Amino acid sequence: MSAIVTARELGVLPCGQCGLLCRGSHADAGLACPRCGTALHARKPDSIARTWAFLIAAAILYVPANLLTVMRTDSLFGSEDHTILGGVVELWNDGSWDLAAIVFVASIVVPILKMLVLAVLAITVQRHSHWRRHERARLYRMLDAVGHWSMLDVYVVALLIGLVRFRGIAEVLPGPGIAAFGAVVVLTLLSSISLDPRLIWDARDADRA
Amino acid sequence: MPTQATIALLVCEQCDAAHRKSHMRRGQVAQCARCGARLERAQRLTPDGMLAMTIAAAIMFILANIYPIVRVDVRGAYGVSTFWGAILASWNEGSETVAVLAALTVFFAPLAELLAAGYVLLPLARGRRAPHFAGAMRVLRLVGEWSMPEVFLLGAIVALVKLGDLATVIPDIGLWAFGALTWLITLVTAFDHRWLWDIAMEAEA
Repeated sequence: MSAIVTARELGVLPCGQCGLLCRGSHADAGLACPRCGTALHARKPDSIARTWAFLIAAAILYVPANLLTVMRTDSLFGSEDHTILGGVVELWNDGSWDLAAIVFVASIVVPILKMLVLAVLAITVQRHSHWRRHERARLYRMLDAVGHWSMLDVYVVALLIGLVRFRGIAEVLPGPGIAAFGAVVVLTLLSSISLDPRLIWDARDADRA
Repeated sequence: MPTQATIALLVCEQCDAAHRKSHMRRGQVAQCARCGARLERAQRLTPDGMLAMTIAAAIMFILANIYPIVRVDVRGAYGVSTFWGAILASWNEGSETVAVLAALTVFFAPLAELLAAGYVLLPLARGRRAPHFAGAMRVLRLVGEWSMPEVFLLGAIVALVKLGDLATVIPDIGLWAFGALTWLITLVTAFDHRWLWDIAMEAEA
């Protein structure tokens, strides 16, 4: 592979908003893009601290999100409490194994993997690790692509509440777990937005200097 | 004020590697030599075409929000639900978080996306740059992270299947409109912001 030169080494700051390449270095604070007026930063400010803050908050809320009920169904056959995992099991037992798989991935696999990946990326960046940079860069891009699919369960609950409103026959009511679950999804999204993937590669740049 | 650097470079947004810019054919994609991220994609649509997609998406957005998503029949008890019916029911049943999250990600974010795209593209299709172009582009980029009609569409399908053994469910116009909206809004927002900025700078204010 030919030698890679970074924008930072060239003394170029790409505007995070409009992409204009401006002359400037990491040390120049308070510069604004001459084209769109956005503040220029070589890297996202306080990237790692913000990533951890959102991630830790998400991990804490993940516990009630899975333990508390996300919705309650009242029908002629009695009332039933549902958790996130319980919803997957029901779909599976009903014979919709394909949808059960989709919901399992969106509601359980994606949030857990997202938090693990964010933690691994944050730790390795903090240690200026050289370990598997390509794979970590790809992990970050995957995170970006699949993160918002976890919102699925929030929509399912909202729609079921709106659709099943037959007093005395059948009713669906929200449980406290769904608010916690929605908060987990939003917090993990904020965490991955805060993480600057360029930091993964900065280790080598620092060594070279 | 910093000055503009040479524009013959393409800098990877994911790893900061600088590349020499080269000419690309329509639909071609440039990849970063270091981290493999997408550097740039040669645009398939002109601002004209994007404007047409935005208007089509806006029509679907209106249909998706006023027509019922699904009709339900439980032993003679008959119910319909629009998107807003579901939001209001969630709010009234005490789950304000669900109502606010769904309204923000399925209604307000796509609405802001479509308005900002239309505002930027309408003058640009005639070779002019809209006043406050930078502000509209900032809105477009910010709300893009939170616009999720595609996830809602899948959620609606899951909800339909879950109801399947309790009631007879019939998908309605709203659901089809959400499907079309998802496809169109993806086309509208898939463009490269840097490309639109470059076109806008060539246009007169």
